[in-house]
Amino acid sequence: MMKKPHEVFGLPAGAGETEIRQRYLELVRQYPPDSAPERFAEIRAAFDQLRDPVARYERGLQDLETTDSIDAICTELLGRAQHAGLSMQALASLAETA
Amino acid sequence: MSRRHDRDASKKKGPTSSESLRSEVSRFIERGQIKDAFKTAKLAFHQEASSENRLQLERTYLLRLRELLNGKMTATAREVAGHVLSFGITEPQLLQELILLLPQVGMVDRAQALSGRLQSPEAKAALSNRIADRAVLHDEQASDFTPELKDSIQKIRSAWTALDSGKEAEALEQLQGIHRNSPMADWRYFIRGLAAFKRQDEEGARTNWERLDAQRSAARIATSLQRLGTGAAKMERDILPLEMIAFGEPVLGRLRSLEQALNSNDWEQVTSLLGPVNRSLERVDPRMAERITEIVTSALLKYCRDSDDDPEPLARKVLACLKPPAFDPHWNRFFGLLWQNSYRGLGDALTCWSEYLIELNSLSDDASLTVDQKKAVIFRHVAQLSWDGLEHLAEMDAARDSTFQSDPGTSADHERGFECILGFLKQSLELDPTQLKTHLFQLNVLHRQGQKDKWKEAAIQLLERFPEESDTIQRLIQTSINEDNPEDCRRWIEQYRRVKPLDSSISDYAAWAHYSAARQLAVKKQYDAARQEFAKADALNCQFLEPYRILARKASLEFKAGEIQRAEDYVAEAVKTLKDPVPLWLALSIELARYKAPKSIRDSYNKNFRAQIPKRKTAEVAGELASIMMPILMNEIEYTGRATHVRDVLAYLRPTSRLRFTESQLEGICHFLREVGDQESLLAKFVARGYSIFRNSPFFCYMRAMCQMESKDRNWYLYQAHQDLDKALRLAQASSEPRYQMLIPEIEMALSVLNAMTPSFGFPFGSPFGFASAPNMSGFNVEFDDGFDDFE
Repeated sequence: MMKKPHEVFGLPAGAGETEIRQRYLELVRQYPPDSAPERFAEIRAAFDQLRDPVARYERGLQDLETTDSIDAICTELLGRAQHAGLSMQALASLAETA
Repeated sequence: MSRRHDRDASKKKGPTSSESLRSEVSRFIERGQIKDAFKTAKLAFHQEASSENRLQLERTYLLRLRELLNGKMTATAREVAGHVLSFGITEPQLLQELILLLPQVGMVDRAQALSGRLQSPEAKAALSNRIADRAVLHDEQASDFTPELKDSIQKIRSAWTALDSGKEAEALEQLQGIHRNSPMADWRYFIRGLAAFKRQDEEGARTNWERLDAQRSAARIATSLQRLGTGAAKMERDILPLEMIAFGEPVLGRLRSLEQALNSNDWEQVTSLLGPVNRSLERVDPRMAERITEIVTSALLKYCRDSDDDPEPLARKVLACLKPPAFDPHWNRFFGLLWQNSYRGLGDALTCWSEYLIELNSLSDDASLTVDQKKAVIFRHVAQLSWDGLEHLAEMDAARDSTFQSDPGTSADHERGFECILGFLKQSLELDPTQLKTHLFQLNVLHRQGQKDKWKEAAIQLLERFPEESDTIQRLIQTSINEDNPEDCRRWIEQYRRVKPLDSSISDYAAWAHYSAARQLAVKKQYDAARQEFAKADALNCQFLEPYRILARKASLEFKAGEIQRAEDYVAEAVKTLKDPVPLWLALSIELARYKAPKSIRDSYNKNFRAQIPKRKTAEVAGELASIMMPILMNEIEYTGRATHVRDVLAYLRPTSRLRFTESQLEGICHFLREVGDQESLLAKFVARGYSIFRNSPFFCYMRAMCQMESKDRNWYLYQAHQDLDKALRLAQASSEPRYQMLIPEIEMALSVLNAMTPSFGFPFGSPFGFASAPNMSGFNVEFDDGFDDFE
């Protein structure tokens, strides 16, 4: 089954332009056209689709797939809780055990 | 009174002796029921103030005090500590424990007053540490501490405050004056470790924190942090305190429940959880609430698409619990996506998309595209849906008739469908002519409809926008060759050369243009110019035409020009290139007619050709005759005598099916017979021959199935056709030959038709007897009237 463009790049579906471009340059260095022509062609085709806003919009019309997950949200919230919990007041309450 | 009565009386009152109460206290303690143990110990002491009971009560007082402190019930713990102090502790070890606990309940002054009763230096040091810890964590009690301690407390708290503000350097500077032997030294290591933890330096944090006293507060805090940092705190109870501080409510637990409900498709549970989850996330971070909407709608769409029941009630119920995203405020897009892949059919999907188009005028979700660009994409999307519906209709029609037609057909529904699709594409292009996909889609539709003039117009329009679109240029070249239009052909060749200068097919195209030009010039009697065209074609040295066919053209030119000797020289040269000149006679007959050479010469070569038909036949000649006539028929090239030539070639082929052909010869003959039409039985013979010799040819597997499906004989085997098509598809997909790759869409189409037919029999691959009969397909209507009007 043909991979979706963001799957070829190993990026989340909502990756921004800068991220896409950086990843493209990394992949092209890894798979140059002279030594890996097929892989390069796949990467190039995926890049053309990803950076084209019309193609991106059209992909969004095909389905509502997302690579996001509740687990990812929980991980992010946990990180925020940890950061928020590092205040003096919060940490002091962790010490109140006998 | 009797002793028996006394015994009974004592049993009714329950255990009253001190010893039994003390035993009960021990049991309560073993079971962890400290509060009950405490009450029972008090009762026992009240009943009998013995030394054992006093000792036990003192012990349970301490246990109760610890229990309250661990449960963070500090106020109650302080009260109990007050009672203990009033009661008095006689046991030295227990007194030591009490004194060490007093700072934790905020009774630093009482602890300091009693410190003289601590007997060991270790206990005194422990008390100092606890007082120091209390001082750091509760500066509101600053007046209780000694001046030296106050100074150190101030440094620690200032360092911690600076660290909280992100000023690590300032924080570390504050710690400079704290001596390593000071009770505050522990806190100095803690602050340094905390600084490392905040900048995610695990090694730095660990190095400082492993020097902490495990009995002190700093170590307890560090342990909790380290547990969080390594992700070991997965249990809600570990992070709940932080959640309450960070968010003011427990969010993660609800999210995990929602996750579980989604994973198990428990939509009742999902709808009950969404409200509270969304409210919490809106308060924490509205973007997270949006992410929940994306995740839930994605899962919901997938579930609804796979559902056998009507998904609309469930979908509406769940969506009512969600805040619609900015790009789909009324869920029209969601339902468009749902219906376009469901049994509800095209009409409902088109209605939703048409409403979404209207909504686009007021949406401001994606600034990377203009409203017109988005509308253009949606119109193309709707065109694609309609196209898919049309193909489905064609499959159903073919299945209903138990015949197969590779083109969608010409019914009124099909015509209306095509017009609608072209209308959508036209609107898309008006909104945004820069979308190449729309242009290409339009070309495809016009090609399938056979609208050659409109196709050409659309192709030229495409190239005005995209002058380097090489595939379209190639198709225009091919079209101009088929139309025998050398001027157009040369125009497109030049454009193609600019785009792909190194493409080897340019020479072939150019040669075709020269041959075509030569013919047209010869018809206009410009013989020298025609000869120059041949010279230019010769210079290109192309190999796509056999030499005898080129020589036949040259000979025709000379016959037309009246240069008989020169013409006959060409003919003689051509004869030398062939074992059997029959193909040459046919080629000459055709070219002489197209060159409008004198009738006498045409008749002469026609006669030559016809004379060979009854004679001994060869596979090579049969293959060549088919390959000569095939492009004539496919490109609808008209000339005088064409029908006779077709009949003559058929007459030649009829008795040759048992000859030993090459694969390409047989394929050519099959293509020719299909193009002629109405030659099912002859075609079937050649296909059978091809299949028997070349069993692993995707072409012959496909053709064998097609012969059955296109046969007017209703008694054909669905199962065998399915097997043949499956094999053809497998072989074609595994092959790198372009001619087999091009077969794949046709094979897939045929399989779709077959699959549409098989459900009506109730067997996996047709009836047990294998006969195909017209199934009742009334349940599969695709109504093109529904929904299209919404776009007008």
